[in-house]
Amino acid sequence: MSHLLEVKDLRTEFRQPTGTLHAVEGVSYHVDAGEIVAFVGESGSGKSVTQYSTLQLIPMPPGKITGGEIWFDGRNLLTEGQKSAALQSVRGAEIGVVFQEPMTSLNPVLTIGKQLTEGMMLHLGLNRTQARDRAVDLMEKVGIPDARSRLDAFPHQFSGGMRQRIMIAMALACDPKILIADEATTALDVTTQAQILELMKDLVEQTGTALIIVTHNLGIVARYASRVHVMYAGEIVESGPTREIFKAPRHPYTIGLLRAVPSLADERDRRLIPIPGMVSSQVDPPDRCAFINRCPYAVAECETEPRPVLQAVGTGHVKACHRDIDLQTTPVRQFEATARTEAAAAPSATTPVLEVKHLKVTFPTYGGFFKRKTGDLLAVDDVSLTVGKGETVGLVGESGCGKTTLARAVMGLQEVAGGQIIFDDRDITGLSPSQMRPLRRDISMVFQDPYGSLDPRQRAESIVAEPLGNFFPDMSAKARSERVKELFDLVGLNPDQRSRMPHEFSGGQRQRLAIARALASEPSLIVLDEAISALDVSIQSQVINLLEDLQARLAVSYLFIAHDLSVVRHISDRVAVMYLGQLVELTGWRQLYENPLHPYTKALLEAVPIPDPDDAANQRRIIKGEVPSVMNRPAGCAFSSRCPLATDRCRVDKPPLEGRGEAHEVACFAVQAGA
Amino acid sequence: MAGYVLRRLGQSVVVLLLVTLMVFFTMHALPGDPVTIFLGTTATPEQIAHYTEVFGLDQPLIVQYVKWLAGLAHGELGQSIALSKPVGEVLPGRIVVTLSFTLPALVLSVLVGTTLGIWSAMRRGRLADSVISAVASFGVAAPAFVIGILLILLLGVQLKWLSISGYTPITEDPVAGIKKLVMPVIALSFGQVGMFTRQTRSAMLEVIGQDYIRTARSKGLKEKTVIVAHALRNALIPIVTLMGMSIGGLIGGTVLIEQLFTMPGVGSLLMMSIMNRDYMVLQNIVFFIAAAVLAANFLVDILYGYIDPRIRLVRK
Repeated sequence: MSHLLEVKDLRTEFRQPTGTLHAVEGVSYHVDAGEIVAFVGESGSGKSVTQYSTLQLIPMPPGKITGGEIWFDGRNLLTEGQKSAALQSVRGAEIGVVFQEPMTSLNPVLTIGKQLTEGMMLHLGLNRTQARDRAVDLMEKVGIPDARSRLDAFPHQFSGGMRQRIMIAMALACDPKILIADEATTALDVTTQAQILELMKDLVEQTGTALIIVTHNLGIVARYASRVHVMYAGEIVESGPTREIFKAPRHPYTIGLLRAVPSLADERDRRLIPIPGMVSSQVDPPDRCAFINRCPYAVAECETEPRPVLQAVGTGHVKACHRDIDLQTTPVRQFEATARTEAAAAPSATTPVLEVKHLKVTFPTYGGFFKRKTGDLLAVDDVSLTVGKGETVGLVGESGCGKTTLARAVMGLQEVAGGQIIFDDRDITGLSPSQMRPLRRDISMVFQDPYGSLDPRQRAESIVAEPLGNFFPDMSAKARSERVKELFDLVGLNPDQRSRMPHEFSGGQRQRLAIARALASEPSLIVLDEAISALDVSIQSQVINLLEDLQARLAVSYLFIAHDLSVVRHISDRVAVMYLGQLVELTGWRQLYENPLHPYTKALLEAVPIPDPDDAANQRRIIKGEVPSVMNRPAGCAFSSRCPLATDRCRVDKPPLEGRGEAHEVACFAVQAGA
Repeated sequence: MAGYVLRRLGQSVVVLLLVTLMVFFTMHALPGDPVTIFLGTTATPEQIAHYTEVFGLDQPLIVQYVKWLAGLAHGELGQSIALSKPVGEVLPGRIVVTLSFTLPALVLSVLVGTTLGIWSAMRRGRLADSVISAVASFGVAAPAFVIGILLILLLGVQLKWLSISGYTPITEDPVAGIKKLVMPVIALSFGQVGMFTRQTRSAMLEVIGQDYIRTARSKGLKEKTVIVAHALRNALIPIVTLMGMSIGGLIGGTVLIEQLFTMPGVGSLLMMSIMNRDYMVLQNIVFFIAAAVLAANFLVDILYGYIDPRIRLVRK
């Protein structure tokens, strides 16, 4: 039987100043009508380039497809040129693509109506009126309200989730046979992500379109895909039916990936087992297994043998490994301790390091002819929170909920409109920058983007030593350099690399550098603002483990801000959930995940896909609607516009955060009234 | 949008007033005065005093300034001492001469520059791109008068295709008129073409790397549609910005070009008036130049809104 799409031995290279980057190395796969196939792998694994190569959407030069066949509709697409009419009649018409970044994938200067209709007019031969009618139909189908009136709106007038819906409508415009979703939901909030994925799944079921999901999120794979291809360094290293890949993985990388990912279904005490090291360079690589430098199962044979080829280990299940590995195989190499470091002292919420009391932060809004101030936008609305000594408090919420604003207020980087911030029994609310300065020794911060938050022209050593010079001016040069080495050791960086520049480090190493900088002044509190969300899963787990070890040794407190509930669960002692500037629930991690009370917390937890195909949670229902803008926060309870339990009272009064059971606070009338 | 336009117009008027103020007082601070220069070394102190009074130059500066502004408001530009004529009679003809080669130069710079820039960006790294980039860099680096001299040597002296100087109104003799404009236009626009080429090339290259261009290609659109409908519009912002700035550059260039090709335009009048301390003429020229530059930049700002809807909304 011939497949809808069959790719054979695809090879894609990129010419670089240092050599040739082998981005895709002999990838073969097929897709049949109506099925959902997933490609998983970390950045640089070639999963996206593989998809773009199918449609020759990679920039050529420097890219070049050097080999393979791509059979679609009885034709080998690789025999057609990049700008050929034949390929243009496949793109968009037969194969639609939804790209990763909804913010940048739509043309900012053209109306969405224009962007939706141009493909239809070209491929389906519709006139303008017909195309606009069809665009409205599609927009309604993907869940955009007031479709007709919004046809002439521009992309920036839509939220990220809405833009991704428009992308999907665009990709579906000509009823394609295949829809490729390249990290289509990665940039979105969890609840929006779940809505978009459900939408695509429904479309596949209704129309028989085949769906290719490209993602690094194993939870998504487990929830939606029927078959999985695991990619590493440009190759498919394992592929098979989803259930088998998750339950009986046979390639060391797949096993490593599954162990590295924190899951909502985990025991919290489970130490994540990171995949050590990082991907070896794909620029003119030697002919041997690419995973060898990170593989706990590698033996001498792996060093000498050529690249392993895919071999069958079950029905439709193949893997590329010289050894016969499964979950039970004992590793031959150990890279890192597998047990959690025992904490020197139990975290104590009774000796608070940081107390935030009824904090309010507002931003002025401007309007009118002379841009006068017209009002205040309440970004953080009456939030109270404490962080104890040696404790980690997780702060979760979707984008725009005010979690970063709260962090900035704690750091004294944001003017406060009301309430108090008490640090180490001192009121630090509204301190001037010069008064705040000595305190910077005790509170430090790690930012989200390890690329943007380090000075690109400063050597690693000087980055870490800067706080030392600032806060310990009497320290001798020798002592300082000793301390820098010590800090490098502490965060698992090689001290010999301390004279390197930031760009010579990988993303994970840079984040370690940022952590070393944060630790240099021996702070008692570190605010981590999405500090690991930009990292690949295998690197994420390295950094999570590092943070946990450091806390156990140094009794430092963390305010850990993130949107990834699995990670927060893994690292936090207590978790605070924010929605539109308000704290809706605050409790210990176990209560929160086992017995969430607030409807929003429940919705958030239900939206997170679990990396286990059998998990019943994957069948749960998804909350509707989008997070409203803070400008349009509903009166009363902020969540009332989306809450299934909302009553008239919720739409008028704001529920206070009240105790409910032991150390469990929740802001919800329904919960407080009910059982 | 209307509010924005009004606010922006108000700003322009304020800037214009500041410019006139500055020019007026710096000019009067220069040593020498028009009457002495006009009358020559043989003039008696009585003659000088008489004419100084006739032209109102004995009045306090601030009074002269206000009088000039009041005159401007009524379209009364004052009297040129050196030319012994009303400025209103001299200036219009001069402006026509200058516009007759600056406007074509501007249009040429924009059209040729953007076309070459797009073409070059589409052939990035190939021979055509390298040649265009090299010539563009030469154009930016070489002063307009050097290009002018080279043109005179080549087209005028060596090949004798064009006469090397002078100006003939097109209304009098279209062919001769246009022939005499060719060299000034090329000399003036050469550097501008280079700037537009470079700006367009880099803007296009940046836009073409954007995600939405990949999206456009993924829809199966023809390459021409992708470039014209999707890429160019996004690349226009820096190009339009450059347009606003190049007006100033072009006007500055006219002074040299008019000297080089002996054309009776505003530039040569400006030079002459500085030599003669002909305050009235100078003041008015600077006023019109400033107004033209401000108007151009005002137009550019309005254009931004039409090109990019995001700017339109922010300034609502």
